[in-house]
Amino acid sequence: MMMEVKTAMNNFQFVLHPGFALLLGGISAAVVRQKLIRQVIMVVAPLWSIAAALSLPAGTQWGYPFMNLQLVILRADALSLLFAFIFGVIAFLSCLYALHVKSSGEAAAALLYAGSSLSVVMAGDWLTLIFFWEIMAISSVFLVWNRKTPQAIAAGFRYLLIHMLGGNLLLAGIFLQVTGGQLTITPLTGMQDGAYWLILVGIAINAAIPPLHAWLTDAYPEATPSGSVFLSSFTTKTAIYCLIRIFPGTQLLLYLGVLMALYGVIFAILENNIRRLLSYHILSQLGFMLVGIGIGTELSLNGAAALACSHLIYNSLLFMGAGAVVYATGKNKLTELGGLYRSMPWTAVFFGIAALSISGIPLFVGFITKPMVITAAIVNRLPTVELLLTVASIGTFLSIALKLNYFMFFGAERGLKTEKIPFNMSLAMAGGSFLCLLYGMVPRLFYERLPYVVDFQSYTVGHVFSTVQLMLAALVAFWLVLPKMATHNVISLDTDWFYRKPFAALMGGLVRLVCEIKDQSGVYGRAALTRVVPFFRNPVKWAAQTVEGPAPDYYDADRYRTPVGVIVLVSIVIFVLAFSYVWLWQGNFFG
Amino acid sequence: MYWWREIMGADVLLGFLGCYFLIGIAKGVVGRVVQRKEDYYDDGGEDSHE
Repeated sequence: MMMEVKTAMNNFQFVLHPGFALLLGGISAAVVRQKLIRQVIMVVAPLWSIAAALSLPAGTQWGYPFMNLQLVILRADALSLLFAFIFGVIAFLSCLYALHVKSSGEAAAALLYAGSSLSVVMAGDWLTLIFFWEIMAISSVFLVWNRKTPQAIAAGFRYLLIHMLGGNLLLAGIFLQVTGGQLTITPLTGMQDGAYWLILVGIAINAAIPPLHAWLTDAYPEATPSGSVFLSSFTTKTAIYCLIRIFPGTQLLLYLGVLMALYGVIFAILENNIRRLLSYHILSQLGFMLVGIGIGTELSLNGAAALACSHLIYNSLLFMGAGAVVYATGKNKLTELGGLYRSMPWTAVFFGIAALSISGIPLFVGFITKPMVITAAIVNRLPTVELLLTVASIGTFLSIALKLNYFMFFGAERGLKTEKIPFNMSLAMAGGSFLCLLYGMVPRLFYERLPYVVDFQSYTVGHVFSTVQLMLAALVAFWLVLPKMATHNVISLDTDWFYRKPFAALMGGLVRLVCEIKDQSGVYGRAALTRVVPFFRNPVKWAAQTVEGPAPDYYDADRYRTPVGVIVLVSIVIFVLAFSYVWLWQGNFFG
Repeated sequence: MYWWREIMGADVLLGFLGCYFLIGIAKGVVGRVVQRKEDYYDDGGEDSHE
C-alpha cells in the first residue's frame, strides 16, 4: 500500500481532494448572496467530491510540509476511498434535500461540516485528523442552532461542550503520540498507554458510545429538518471509520457494541419524538458496527465498514422522511401524528423503503450488510453476541418499520394540515430509495468497494428464510401488543441527565456560592466601613490640639487653618534665604 | 450452529419472544425509571414548533 510520499502537493492538486471540494464549496456558499448561485454550488461541490474520490487511485499519498513535520493530507486506500465515495454521495443527496433552505449560513455550515469529515477520512497523519475533527464539531453546531428555538440553542451549547471535551481529549492523545515521534495514523490496538486511552475516549465521544452518547439524542432532534440529515450522517460515521482504522480488534468495543445495540433499541421503544427515536436507532446501528470492529477479523471489519456505509444511505433517508414530516406538519411527536399516508404518500413510500432497509429485509440494502457482522460473530464462536444482536435487529424492525411507520403514516387520523414539501426534498428521498434498492438487489456493486475481498453471500436460502421468519413473528407480536406500543407525552431521561440536572445544580450552586460570598462581603464590608468611618471623620482630633477647647467630630478647615501671619513669615524667610544665596555666592545679581 | 438453532422454528420463537422481551424491558423496567413529564428540564417542554 505504501507508496513514496510526494514532497509537496502540486499547485492545484488540492482541488482533487474530495474533502477540499466540499470545503471550498462551503466557503463560497458563505460569501455568495444570490440563492441560485448558492444552489449551484450545493449541487456541484458534492458531485466534484464524488468525482475526486473516484479518480484517486488507491495508494495515493499527498504530503504537505508544515513546520518541520511532513503531514500526509491525503492517504487513499480501499477503506478511505470507500468512505470518501459514500460520504460524497450522501453529501450530494443531503444538499439536494436542503436546496430550498433560505439560510446561506446553514448551507455553508453543512458543506464545511461534510467537507471536514471527508478530510478526516482522507487524513494520513494525526495533526491533519485533529484539525479537521475540530472544524467538524464547530461547523455542525450551526445546523442545530439554525433552528433558533430556545431548546435548539441550549441543546447546541451542550453538543458543543461535549464535542470540545472530546476534541481536547483526542488532542491530548495526539500530542502524546506526535511528541513520541509517531505522526502517521497507525493502529493502536493493544497499546493501553495514555495516548491509547485518550484517543479512544476522544473518538468514543463522537461514536456516541454509552455513556458518552447523550449529546446525539439530545441535539439531533432539535436541529433543522435538513440539518439533522447532515448531522445524522457524518460525525458518528467518521468516528466509526477512525475506530476501524485505529482500533480494529479491540475487545472492549465488542462488549460496548452489544450493549449499545440493545440500549438504543430499548430507548427507541419508549420514545415519542420521531427524530429522537431515529437517533436512538443510530446508537443501535453503531453498536452493530462496534461489534464488527471489536471482533477484528477481515469479515467483521468488512462488515463494520459495509454497515457504516449502508447505514449512511438508509439512515439519511429515514431522517429525510422524518424531516419532511416535521417540515410539513410542524409536529415532532408520535402522539400528535397519524394518518399522514393520505397527504404525504410519496414520503410514506420512501420512508417505508428506508425502514425496511434498516431492518435488514431481503431486497433492501440492510440485508446485504447487517448479516456480515452477525455471521462474523457466529464464525468467531460468540453465540451470545449473535443472539443479542438478532434480538436488537428485531427491535429495529419493531420500532421503525412497525411502530414509527404505523403511528406516523397510519394509525389514528388526526386531520393534520400539511404544508406541501418542496420538490427537491422528494427528489433527494427518491435518490436515497433508489440506492437502497440498487445495492440491496445488486450486492456486487457494494461488495467490490469494501476494503477486504468479500467471501460472503447474503442471499442464501437460510438467511432469507430466517430473516423472514423473525420479522413475521415480530409483526404478529406487534399486532398483539399494538395498544401498548402507543407512546405518551413523556420524555425519557438519559445520561445527559447527569449534566443537565446534578452537574448543572453543582455549577449553579458554585456560581451562587461565589455570588453569595461577593454579596455578603459587600454587606459586611459596608457595615464595617460604616462603623469605622466616624473615627476618621476628624483625623486631626487624634493629634495634639493647637486650639483651645474639645476637638469637634467633623474636621473643620477654619478651626485648623494655619494663621496667615505664619505663611507670610515663612514666605519672607524663604525669600531672604534665596536672595542672599544668589547675592552672596553667585556674585553680581544683575550681571 | 448452537443448540437453540436446532429447535424447530427457532427463528419464529426468537422473533416473537424477542419482541416481548424488548417491550417488557423497555416499558416495564427502563420506562419506569427514566420516564418523566415533558417539562422536566424546565426548557419549555418537548413541543417546540417553528
